[in-house]
Amino acid sequence: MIRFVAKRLALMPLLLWGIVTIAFLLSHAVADNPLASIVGERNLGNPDVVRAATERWGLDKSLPEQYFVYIANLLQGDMGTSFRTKAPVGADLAVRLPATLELAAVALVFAIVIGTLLGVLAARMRGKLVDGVVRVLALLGSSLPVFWVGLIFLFLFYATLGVAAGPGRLSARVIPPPDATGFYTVDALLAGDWPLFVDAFQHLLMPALIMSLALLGTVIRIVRSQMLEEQGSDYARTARAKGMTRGQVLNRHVLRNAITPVITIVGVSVGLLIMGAVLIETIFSWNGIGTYAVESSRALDFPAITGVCLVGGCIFLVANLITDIAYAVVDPRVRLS
Amino acid sequence: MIVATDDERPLLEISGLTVAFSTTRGPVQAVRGADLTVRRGETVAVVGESGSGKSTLASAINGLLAPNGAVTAGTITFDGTDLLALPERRMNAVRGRRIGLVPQDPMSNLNPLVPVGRQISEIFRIHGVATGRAARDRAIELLGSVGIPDPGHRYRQYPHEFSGGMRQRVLIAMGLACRPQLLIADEPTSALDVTVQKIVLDLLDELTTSMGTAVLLVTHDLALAAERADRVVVMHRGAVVECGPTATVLADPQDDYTRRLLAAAPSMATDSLVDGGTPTAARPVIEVVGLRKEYPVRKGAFGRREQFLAVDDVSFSVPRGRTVGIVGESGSGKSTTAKMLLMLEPSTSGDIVFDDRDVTGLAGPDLFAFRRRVQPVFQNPYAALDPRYTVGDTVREPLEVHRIGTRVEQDARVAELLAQVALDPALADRYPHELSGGQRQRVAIARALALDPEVVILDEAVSALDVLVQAQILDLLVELQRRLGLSYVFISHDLAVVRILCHHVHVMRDGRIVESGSPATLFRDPQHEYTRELLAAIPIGAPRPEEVEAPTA
Repeated sequence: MIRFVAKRLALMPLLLWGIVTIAFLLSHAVADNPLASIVGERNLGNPDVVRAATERWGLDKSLPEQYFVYIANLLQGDMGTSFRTKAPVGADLAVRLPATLELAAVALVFAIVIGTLLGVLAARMRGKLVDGVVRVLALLGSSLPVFWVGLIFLFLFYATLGVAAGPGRLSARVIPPPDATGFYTVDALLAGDWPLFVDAFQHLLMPALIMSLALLGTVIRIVRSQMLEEQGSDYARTARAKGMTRGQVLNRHVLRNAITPVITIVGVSVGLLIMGAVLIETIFSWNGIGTYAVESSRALDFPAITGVCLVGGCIFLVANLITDIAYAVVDPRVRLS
Repeated sequence: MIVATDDERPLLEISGLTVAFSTTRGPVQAVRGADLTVRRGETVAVVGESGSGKSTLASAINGLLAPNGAVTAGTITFDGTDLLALPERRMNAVRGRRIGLVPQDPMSNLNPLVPVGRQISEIFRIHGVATGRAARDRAIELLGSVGIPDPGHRYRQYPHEFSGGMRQRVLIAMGLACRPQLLIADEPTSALDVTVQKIVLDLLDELTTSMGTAVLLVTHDLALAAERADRVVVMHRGAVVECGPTATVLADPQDDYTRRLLAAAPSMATDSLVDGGTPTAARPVIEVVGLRKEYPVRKGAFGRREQFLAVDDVSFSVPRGRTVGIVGESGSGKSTTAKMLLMLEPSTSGDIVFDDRDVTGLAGPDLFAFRRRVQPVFQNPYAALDPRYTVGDTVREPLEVHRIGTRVEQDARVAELLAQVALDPALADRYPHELSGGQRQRVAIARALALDPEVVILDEAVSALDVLVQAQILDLLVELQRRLGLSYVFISHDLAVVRILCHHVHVMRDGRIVESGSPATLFRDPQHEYTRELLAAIPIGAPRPEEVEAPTA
């Protein structure tokens, strides 16, 4: 197990290097010139300003040169400076990444916990009304477009009914907690500010729920079908022959077997979840990595785009590693090698 | 073994039992008006082919029919209680405590994610027999009593860390955990090797005798039933067609079906289907010399790479027009040998000389040409046919792959092939799921014959078939050999079948051939200890002498 983790970790720099290279080349393959976003539309007519900016940002150098400079800087922990914000990309990401991770983490918990509960419920009530309702919900969750659900929910629960918190990470005129981790809920608790925690948490609920919907639907369907399949398996019947009730067999034997495939699905879905952040963050004015990615690509902000790819790649690789380990923990037959 | 006195009322009395399953094509009766009695402490065998309703009958007793099945008529009385009238909650108290179950497949009947010991000790907890440490200690003790070494350590291990035979012991431990009055053993050993089967059945006998537990032994194997049971019940198409004391039923079967079943079951006394004849003078069609197969495996916590020797220095030859049998238990390397002969698996070293040419290194067009001359038939007729291909498509496919004939010629050839394996050519439009197991295996044979091969590799080709169907397929194989001059390599775990079909037999163990000879000499006078062991383990179709004399509890 330790050998396996070490091997995978050792491989990570290589994979990240590949990701960075591809991201770098792709963003430079775009024919458009990023100068407009650096100096502003109006200054493009001014040759002096343009020449100065080209030199300042190293755009006069050849692509290989630019690439080697970027890699050399990256090795020293410098991800470059954003064309658009004129701030170091590393600093930009440090502010925005926790916002997205906080959202994605809560969304994951929703998908796993609610998905499993509803899946089990539907399987136990197979063919009954509850089963039908859950299955329809699962289908809707997987098929309704996120931006539409987001707007409808905001309109319904925030604007009309006023039962949910609005867009943003905090209510208006609420001052963020002192920065320790960047996760507002965690920072608020660290600062001992309970009302602030509640406010941050309430703002998380709706966007996280909507973010989780697609995965939630998938988890429900997998848990339900796995439960039904495992219920009919030989070992479940043998457990019944021991004198266990149907419920005991489900809880002690069937559930564990039914849940293992969920780990795989959740693992590969983390990447999709982060991708979905683009839409959610735009709708909920969430100052995270998704909005940052959108704005950076609009401005052809190469360093920022490559930085986002790098971080996304890291998240994906770590998620996969955790998935493999979780699988080995749950299923004794899996040997990591 | 019979401990009940005659005036006692029976432990289990089933009368007029009818079980129906609701299917898309309407209700299907799986059991029809079955009567059965089990007295205390005795062993009653229910014998029948697949689909005879024997397992359904067993499931009805402990109330574990599939959700679409229901008892529509009849009664099941257990120790004076009407089980069918018992509410679910009280039935749970009967299951596991008073009626134990030993199910068929040791691979699928244990929960793979729960340690073996916990799966036993939970029985004590459910029935309130023991809890906590006491339950654990009892489970460890039980593991020891079913012959599992180091039970304290094994208690914590998972099912995949046990061999098939060891798992079956665990299932026996589970079935007998609460010392039930009745044990339902549903094909308890049909997934096991014959030597393991004997050990497991001996253990089962010993334990149930000492506990005074009655056994309802469900099996397809008449010889096994004869050896182990006091009385036999024969089922056919859901009905009990014959029942009585074992010796009486075997010696003097009254029902026509029982007679056919007895006649079809090959035993060590059955006459050979092939004539021994003089070995043909011509050169053998296949000559295997020093064949070896190694697989890399990882062992231990640090994953040291090691070589596992699956086939070790195997040499034999296949004379033209003859059948060479390879017998062995699981893990003996017999199927790996078959795969290498078929060029589906590369050999590590050694030669396979086919028609005077070493074929081990063949590739490209040469290999393609070789495939026309050596064809396989595999064990499972359900898995070996593509469910989305019609019978005609399946049989035609080899012709298409090798571009033989026009479409019209291919159709004619398909009809000819189907007729050759005694199938109605009209079946060409059917799909596999519309056919019986025997019909499917005939289709698989027709497909193997499509390219006019010289050699057919039969890997457990009749092992999944019921005994009557098996007899028909064996006859077909012999007839085809006579007519087409085919050479067979017949790979099987079943010595009785090998004995009647083969001209020459090799016994394999742990990758090596330990003994070779003609069936007549090999089985009459086995030289190697392992061959003797194998032969001794085969159910002989009658109570073993020592068991008749065994003291009753």
